Amino acid sequence: MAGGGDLKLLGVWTSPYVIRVRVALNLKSLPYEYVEENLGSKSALLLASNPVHKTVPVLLHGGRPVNESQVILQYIDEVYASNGPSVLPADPYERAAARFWAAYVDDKVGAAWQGMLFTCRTEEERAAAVARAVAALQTLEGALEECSKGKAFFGGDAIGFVDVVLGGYLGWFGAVDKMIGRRVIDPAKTPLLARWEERFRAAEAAKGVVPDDADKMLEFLPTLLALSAPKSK
Amino acid sequence: MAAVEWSSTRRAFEVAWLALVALLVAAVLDDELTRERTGEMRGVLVVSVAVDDTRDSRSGVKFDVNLDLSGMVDIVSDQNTLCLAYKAEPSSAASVHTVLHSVIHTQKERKKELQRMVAGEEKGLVLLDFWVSPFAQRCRIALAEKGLACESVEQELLGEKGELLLRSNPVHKKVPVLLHAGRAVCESLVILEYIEDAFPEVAPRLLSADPLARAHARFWADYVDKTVYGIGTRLWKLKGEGRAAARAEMLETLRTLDGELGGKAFFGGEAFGFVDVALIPLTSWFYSYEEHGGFSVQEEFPRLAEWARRCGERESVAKILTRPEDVLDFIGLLKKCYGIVE
Repeated sequence: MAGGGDLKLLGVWTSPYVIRVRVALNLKSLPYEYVEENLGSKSALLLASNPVHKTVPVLLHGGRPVNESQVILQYIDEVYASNGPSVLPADPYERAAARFWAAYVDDKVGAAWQGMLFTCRTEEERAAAVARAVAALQTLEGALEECSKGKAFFGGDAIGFVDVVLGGYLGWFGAVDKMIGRRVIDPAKTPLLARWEERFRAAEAAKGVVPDDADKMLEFLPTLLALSAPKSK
Repeated sequence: MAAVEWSSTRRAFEVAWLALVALLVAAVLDDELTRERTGEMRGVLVVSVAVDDTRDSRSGVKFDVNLDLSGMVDIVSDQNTLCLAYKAEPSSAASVHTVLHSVIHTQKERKKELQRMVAGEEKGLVLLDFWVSPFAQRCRIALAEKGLACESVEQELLGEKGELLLRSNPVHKKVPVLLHAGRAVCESLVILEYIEDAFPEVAPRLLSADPLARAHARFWADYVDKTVYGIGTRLWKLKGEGRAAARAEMLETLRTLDGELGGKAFFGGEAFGFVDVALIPLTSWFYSYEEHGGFSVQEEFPRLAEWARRCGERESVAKILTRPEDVLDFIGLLKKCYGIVE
């Protein structure tokens, strides 16, 4: 069943959590209305749709909200099962592995991402957060080797759950790379992930949603920092 | 395999026995150590006993802190550390040897059995567990509700964690871990989803078939994970402003959960489900949060309190949840370990 009703996504163009949902919608070739939210002045629709967290992304399906990006990804998989491949694999054990690694990404990489852009007060603190991200990425390098079994993505031949979850951070990593003058995903430390990044960015589903203009993101950063506690999940 | 129950009395006795033996191994094999360790020293004995085929029993015993020789045993832990508050009378040398041999023998047999399980020779379910862990209890409740037999294997979480745990969860080194035909699944909510996926024919279903209902359940389970335990830990660990802030956040969280529950019997509606399983083990900790925060769940959130009682009527929940008093004792001993004085 392709679901009853239109799709609308409330988001912010830089949010890793929004980007991953857009990639997933693209993978299923699903048309949707995209609404850019101003986090400094959240829409009534956003506040009504996600009263608990008041954050993006929010997916509205026939007007009914689904919140939390990883929850949204699974919702899309389940409702649009006949619209092409799912990001989660079919095998229960592989699904568990994908969920485990996706949780790890948001737990470790996500926390470091917050640290390197939004909560650091000095360049030393930023560097420390980057180091935490790099450490997590080194673990993910091993996970990529294991999950991909020599293929292009965590999901194998096709982009999967862990790929979209991690891929959402690539836009900001590009911006941080520019800030600090070196790569967060360092080809010397994490060669598999470096090649993975190229493939992910080049994918059709990522076009136009994974930001590739680091300057544009850095221009937008002060706006985000001006908000008291930017939490986009 | 029959599900293993761990009553706190039995556990305390077994650990006391093990701890006694550990102590006496050193007493028998190393007189100097005995002279250092006996006497009037008080405090917490931290014992890790690892009986390994490749090491002799002497090198397998470690002592870290002082020891008090005059009473019973308590076990304290959070997800990462284990402390044994140990007090016991040493017995004679002869009985030490007998006890020692039988314990080591049992441990070796146990290890071989577990190794067979890990190798996939056993098709069953094994849960790497810790008695007070609310996250492990989520998994045990789900399995019990579904009538899926699972062997609970209590882990030592102090210092040197068991080889099986480290091998099964190298990334986090935490419980719970579900082993199914030797393959490890980690993270309690991931385990709950796995149980749904891997046993699709087994009732009751904890997640609805409807995608929107599933999304709501996942959202609320995620909310529980982001809030209750973390805020609760700050509530008992911190003082002054830190505790006040945690108290406010805890009340906000419980208010939100109470609001979401509303007038429903369970979070998902009429049937006990995913969110109920995710939250109910944490209700054993409510008493401790109330004591530290100076509030009453019954008074502030009667619907939530009623829901907890309703869940507690289920056999699985009644058997598996830790008694609130035991959680409070556990927190008390954790504080001792961390050097926190009330």
